[in-house]
Amino acid sequence: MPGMGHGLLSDNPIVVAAFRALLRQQGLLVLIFMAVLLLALAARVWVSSDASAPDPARRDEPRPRWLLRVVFGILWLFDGALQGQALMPLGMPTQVVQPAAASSPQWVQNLVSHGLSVWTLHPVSAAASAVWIQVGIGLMILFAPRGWWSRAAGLVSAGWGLAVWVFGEAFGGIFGSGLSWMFGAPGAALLYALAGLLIALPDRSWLGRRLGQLILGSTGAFFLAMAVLQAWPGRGFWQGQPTPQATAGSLTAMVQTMGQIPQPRPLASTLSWFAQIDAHHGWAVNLVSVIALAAVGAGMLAVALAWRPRLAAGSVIAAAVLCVADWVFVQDLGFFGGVGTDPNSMLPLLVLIVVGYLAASRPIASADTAPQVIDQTGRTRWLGAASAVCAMGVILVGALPMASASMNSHADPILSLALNGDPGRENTPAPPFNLVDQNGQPVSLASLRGRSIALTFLDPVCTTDCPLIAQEFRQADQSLGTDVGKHTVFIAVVANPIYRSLAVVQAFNKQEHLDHISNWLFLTGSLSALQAMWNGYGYEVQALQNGGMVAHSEVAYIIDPSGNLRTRLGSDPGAAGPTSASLATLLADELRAVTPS
Amino acid sequence: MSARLRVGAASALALLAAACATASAPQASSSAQQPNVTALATTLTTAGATWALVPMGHLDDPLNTFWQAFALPNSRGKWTLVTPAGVADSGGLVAADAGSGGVVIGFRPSQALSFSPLAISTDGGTSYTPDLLTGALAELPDSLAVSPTGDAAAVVDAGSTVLRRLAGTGQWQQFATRTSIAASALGRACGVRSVTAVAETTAGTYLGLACSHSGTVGLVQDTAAGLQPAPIALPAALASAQVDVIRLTSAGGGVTALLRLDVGGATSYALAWTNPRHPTWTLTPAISGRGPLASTTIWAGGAALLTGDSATDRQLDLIGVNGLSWTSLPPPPAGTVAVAVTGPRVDALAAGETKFTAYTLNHITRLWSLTQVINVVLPYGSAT
Repeated sequence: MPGMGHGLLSDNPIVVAAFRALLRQQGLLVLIFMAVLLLALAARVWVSSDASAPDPARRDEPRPRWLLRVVFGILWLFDGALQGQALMPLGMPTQVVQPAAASSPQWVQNLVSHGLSVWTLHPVSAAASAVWIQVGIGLMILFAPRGWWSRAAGLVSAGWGLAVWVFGEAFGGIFGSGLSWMFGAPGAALLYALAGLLIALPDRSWLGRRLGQLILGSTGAFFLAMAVLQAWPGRGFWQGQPTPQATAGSLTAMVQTMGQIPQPRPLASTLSWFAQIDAHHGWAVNLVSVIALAAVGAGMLAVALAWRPRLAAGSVIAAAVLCVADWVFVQDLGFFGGVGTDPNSMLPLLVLIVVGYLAASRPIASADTAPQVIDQTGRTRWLGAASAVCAMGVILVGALPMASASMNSHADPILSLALNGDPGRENTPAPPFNLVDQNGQPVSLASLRGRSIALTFLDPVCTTDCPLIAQEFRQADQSLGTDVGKHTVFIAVVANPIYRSLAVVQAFNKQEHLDHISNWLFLTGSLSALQAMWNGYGYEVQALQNGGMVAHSEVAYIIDPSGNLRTRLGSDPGAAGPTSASLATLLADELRAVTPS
Repeated sequence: MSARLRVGAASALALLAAACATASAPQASSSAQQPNVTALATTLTTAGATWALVPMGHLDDPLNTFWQAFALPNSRGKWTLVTPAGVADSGGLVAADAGSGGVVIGFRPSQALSFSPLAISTDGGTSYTPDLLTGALAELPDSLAVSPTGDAAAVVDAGSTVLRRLAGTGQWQQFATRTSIAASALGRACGVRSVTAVAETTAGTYLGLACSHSGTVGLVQDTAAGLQPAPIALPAALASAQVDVIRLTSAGGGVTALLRLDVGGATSYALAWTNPRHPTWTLTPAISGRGPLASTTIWAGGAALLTGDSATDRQLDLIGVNGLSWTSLPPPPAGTVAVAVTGPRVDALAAGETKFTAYTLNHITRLWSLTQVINVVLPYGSAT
């Protein structure tokens, strides 16, 4: 996915610090919001005389649904906590989504890239949003056990799960090569979405064993399909790695890769041991996997068609063993290493299977024979609703900033700060200069008195950053608007001792569509005049030999209308797409600060 | 699927893909067909020196590939590194004879650059004067040309446009486009795909074309009456050939064009030339049965073809000064990327990652002897 990288390391301290600060701020907001709301609603409950009246319509929650709700509620909370890891803002696109989509068709990559652009442009607010949305969903599922709010929680869970499945997991890789149940197909987020849909079902759906059999049958069919895929020749699952020089098979390579990720030593040792086993007995390991998948799948499919308690129990136990083994030996539990987003697919899959088994093996015959209510008071009902509203508030704490960010196509200025460091503040007279602009007209610092200046140095035949910096200047000009813009001027000074003619400068302006911008000046002059300018600003330019681009530093200055140098900014623009307009926003802010209104 | 598992899956797939690629690489290489674009690596002989343009560095990484210019002045027998500075040259270099012993070297733009800086030297590459072409030089060894009177022409925008600058004026003007050529009589007969070469003479500009229609040689001259086809007649055996002009020069006061002729999937090469003493076009015999074209060199009435599947298995064929038949020379040393022919001297030029090696052919023993090694310090990372 071209354009998704921005040249920043995931552990960039400026981004990490900003992420943590935002989480603290939003966390405080969440706490205050929840406290106020809970107090208000609690008071309402205690004051209301009707609040203690029983609700004869309410019934106890079916045990399978309770299990599903509690486990997936905890999983969402856990995943939300994982989203709070320091590497998430910058690591999510490059270390999580890009690898997920890499083997998928181009249309999937394009879709994912498009959807992920919000995160790439606004990594801090997007990462924080993901934390609160998932924590909020978890709280809502856990603390709204029954009724409309509970079903709404299921729908929210399903919706967010699907969004994560598409944009975060690239459809769980189902359109990519190397699809395997062992590696997590069809994607953990899809299982979360399915769980959410089950929670959203009306109560009557849980009557009888039909829903349980449907879950077991669907899972069984899925296992059978995965067994066929696992057995399919030419996909690398049969080969292992007979000698160290041989190419590792798919499973061996996967386990070896997982074993290299930072994690507790016992887990790494376990993976290393299994990698050795698979390397030497790849064929046998895959044979066992295929047979086990097929047997479990056939068993569950059979009990879906005709209920047989022993076969069902046996199939579920075998599925549990298989899932746990894969979770430990292949999926490596999933949440170590700094960018783990969830505990992988095996745990949610196993929960779905157990829920299906419970629903099928201990059916609630009808509404009349269902367990009687143990929770009938209006007070508890109010508290449930209050909790759900609070949880929805937590979701909104995450969702609203993400929605706001999605409307802003300019990258967060934090990216420019992360690339260049904090701006240097100064208040000294700017070094004077006497050069000519792109039209050959003389321009000096004195001639610009009364206007704010954004000044940088650009090589007009540069192939990489200079055109991007020029575009940042152009966008800064656009974002200033006419009121401030008419009092500002954007200046680039040639940073090439050889290619510095008016023709070259004009060609650059045309290339960057700057030739019609009235307050854009690309200054040049004799080599001695340019050197005087470079020296005055402590600027270094070096013409590299043997095919290299001219080396020069990347810096921008803000000069106030009185001719004082006020700010020194690093001007590394990063990659074109992900950091687009990040520097521009900073420049515009700095110019506004020094330009009289 | 969690992040770590995705990373693992991607790595595992990458390993498998790499293994598959390794296993299938020889097959892919051997099945490679003649490239459509003639390699930029070439040499050029001017009045004062012979010039070589070759890529060095990490050739599998465009941003760390650096093209180098070497000069072999007539006054001394040693190659010298003379790459012009000031511009990243990862996109490639193109050279043209600027007359009076001078040379003009054009930088093909790479990455965000969309025009071609030029560098002119009149002292054998010791110093350069910067100049500018306001278009992007096409990836063709003869995309730039200068006439003895200083008029210049350039093929830009991947062969779709020709720009021209008259001596003494600073402005490049559009001279022809693929569309305007296609509208001419020859353009219609040729079914022009693109402009492949340009040459400047005192009598006007010549354009080489790639034709999609069979039996037409796409070589046109700009005259007062417009674009006129060069009267080059193909022999009956090649009457159904699809012809591309792949090299073109006005050296020696005449015009010489190297043609690629494709007949039913078989490729051959022939030289067409004319000069003031032989105003009628001569078409040499065609040479066929060669591997993919690795490099070409052209001069007045002559050309050298370096062909072969790999850098260690090259074949070198030469057609001499106004010669009538091709001569096969001993296979050049491994790593040869271009051949320089300076009078009787034939140099095979090998460019490794940082080492430029010149081998000279002993015509008596028919052996190549190593004559010079130049180590080049490359500015890795400077274009990223």
